[in-house]
Amino acid sequence: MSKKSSFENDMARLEEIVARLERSELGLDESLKVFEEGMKLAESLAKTLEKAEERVKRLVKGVQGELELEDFEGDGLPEES
Amino acid sequence: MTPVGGDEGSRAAERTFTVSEVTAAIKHILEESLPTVWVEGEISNFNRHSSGHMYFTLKDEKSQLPAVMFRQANSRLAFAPQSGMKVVAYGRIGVYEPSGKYQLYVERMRQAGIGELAAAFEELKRRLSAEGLFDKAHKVPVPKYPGTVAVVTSPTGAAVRDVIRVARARSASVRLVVVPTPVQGAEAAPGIVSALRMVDEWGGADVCIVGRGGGSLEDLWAFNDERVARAIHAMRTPVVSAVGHEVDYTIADFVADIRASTPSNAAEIAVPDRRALRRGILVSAGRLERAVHARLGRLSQRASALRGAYGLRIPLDLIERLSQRVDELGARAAGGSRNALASARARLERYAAELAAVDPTRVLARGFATVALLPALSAVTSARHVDAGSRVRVRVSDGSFDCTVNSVSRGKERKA
Repeated sequence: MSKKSSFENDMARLEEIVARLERSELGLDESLKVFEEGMKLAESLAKTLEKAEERVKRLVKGVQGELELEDFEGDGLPEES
Repeated sequence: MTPVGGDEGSRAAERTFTVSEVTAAIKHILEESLPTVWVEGEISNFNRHSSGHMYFTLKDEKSQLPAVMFRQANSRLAFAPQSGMKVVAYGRIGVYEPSGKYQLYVERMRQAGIGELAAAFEELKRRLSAEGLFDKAHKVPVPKYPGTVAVVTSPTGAAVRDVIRVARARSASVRLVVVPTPVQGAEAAPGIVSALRMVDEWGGADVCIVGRGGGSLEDLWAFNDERVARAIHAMRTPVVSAVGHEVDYTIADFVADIRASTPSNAAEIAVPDRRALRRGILVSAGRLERAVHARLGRLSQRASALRGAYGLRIPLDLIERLSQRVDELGARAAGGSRNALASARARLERYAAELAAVDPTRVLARGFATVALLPALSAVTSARHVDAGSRVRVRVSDGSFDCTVNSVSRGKERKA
């Protein structure tokens, strides 16, 4: 969940920064500071999007009832009967 | 049977029929006495001819009745008939003269027991609705940017393939976690329930798709099971239902936080399109730059006002160059080209370096100071911004100090 929150929060923060800068309600120092922050956010958000492909996983219950992920061999699946 | 060569005389009294005549008589008798009938039975030897006509046999424990359903009639079928299915067929009994065979010419056909299923569906829907399981108040919003999407479905079905294909096309970095369960037959409902519970217990998914590909009403029936409905209702993870085709509505659809029309549509709902997101980020970065640029523009105005007074030089041509860059960046962002982000980044780095060049601290290093009103720290750029007694923070190159204004003398009005 934390991964989602950070992307979602970062998007929201970026939008907030843009709005605040556009309303120019900040002093110069503050403007430059949030500009810097906004640019870093935009970069890291964009980088998140570029992230390598995630393999498809399968959630299974182990012998002790613990939940674990293993690779899902999802390609070349047979047709549904 | 009378042997050939019997009494010709007595036979002459009787008329000898041709095969066609006898067949026509049988046809007449049969078709007169059984104009149209409803017949219940099990399909066997089902065969769909390349012409599109369907040939099969209806049977029960004792008897068999050959049947044909022509293409025009079977194009209106609400299900795909196959051997072993119990059906009720409507049609006329006819004789097919070339093979001397009588058969049922099926005009309409439905699956046996469908009436009871439909009634059970309505009853459960009414009961759960009265209980409030479908209320909007229970619907949890599906997150816009999930990191992980759980997919509760058959690991070998069409649905899982559709979801994976569509989700990958939209964003390869979203993690898909398949939670396998049978989706038809007696095992389906308890299987779906325990898979859903696993998703919540695991807690690693931001959204959960539950569903299967299209099929007959019976195939989809697990998604009309009360246990499944209650399990979906109890989920903490937001649930997107994706059962069958667009026309198929199940109880699961009513309980889910969002109903997708198909498994592919569920992937579209759950997984944001990376290209659209990237465009959005670019646009934000562009707006950010324009805003700072505007801010900088105001600074340069003030600076040139100062220059008049003190001979301070702010590189105005730099501002103009930046302005061009920003416009260019905006245009690229709008175009959303593949490399726009990479080149935007490079530009932003240069831009940041150039911004640093007009960094007010460099001006400060030359002996100027900035004044900000306390406590808001808004810039004091005019004598009208302060009054006697105002507290201000004066910033010089290596630090700042707070002062109280003793008195104010205001010059002539000028554009701020």
